[in-house]
Amino acid sequence: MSLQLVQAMSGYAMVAQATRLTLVAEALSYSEIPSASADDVLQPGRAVLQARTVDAGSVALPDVPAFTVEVASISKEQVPPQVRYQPGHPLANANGEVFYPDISTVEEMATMISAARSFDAAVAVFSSARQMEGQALGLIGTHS
Amino acid sequence: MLISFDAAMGIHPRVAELRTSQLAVQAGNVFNVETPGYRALEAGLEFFQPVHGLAVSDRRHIGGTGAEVDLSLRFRNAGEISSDNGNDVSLVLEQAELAQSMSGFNVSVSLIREQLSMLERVISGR
Repeated sequence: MSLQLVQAMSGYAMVAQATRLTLVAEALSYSEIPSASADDVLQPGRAVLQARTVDAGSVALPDVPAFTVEVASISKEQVPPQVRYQPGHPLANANGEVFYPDISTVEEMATMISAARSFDAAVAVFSSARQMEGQALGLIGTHS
Repeated sequence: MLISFDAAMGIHPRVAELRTSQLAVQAGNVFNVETPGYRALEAGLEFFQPVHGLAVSDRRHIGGTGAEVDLSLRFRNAGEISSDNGNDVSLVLEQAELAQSMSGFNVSVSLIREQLSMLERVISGR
């Protein structure tokens, strides 16, 4: 029965979206952390999604490809940091410059909403599959 | 055997089983709505009359017992992709199709339930 498979696929999708949400939280918490040099600036990770194949076949029809989603890798791209002129800062260099990660809060919020919506979709598919399985199981019992 | 359960259920168990495969493919499209380069798959149930090369030449002949069903798979959009990351999933369309195959599954389960209660009536002789 591939209804259990659909539920497993929802599980994969939920894990992937939760990972994305974790990375958003990481990026937002990094955004105001200063550092003394451009090389030491914290770089938030970005989730790279990829399709993962599963076999949705059954006794009636084997070999049906279906795809769930997973996080392929977490890429740490080197974004040039923001340079702020703060001569009184304890981490300031000789020129009075302090380096901050260049993180767009708006972009992170958009990613967060998109991850949350996709998570919702995965949960909806999961509960639908569960309900359908319940109906099929309901055939066992009395018929009158 | 007087009553064959396979024959009594007809096409419905197979339809229900194929519906779950169809649901898995459509769920995969929903899950991959943000995956770069993912192309939506379309899974459709195709009903057809089996061809046996026999003809009903007398009114006492019993006709074929009904349709057969198969699942067909193809890419939803054959042409070029408009999205810049190569993904062509339409979430609204996929959710509508998902709802459609869910109700198809419910119909099959209801029909199986009806067949079973009919069989029970036949067996108990009421």
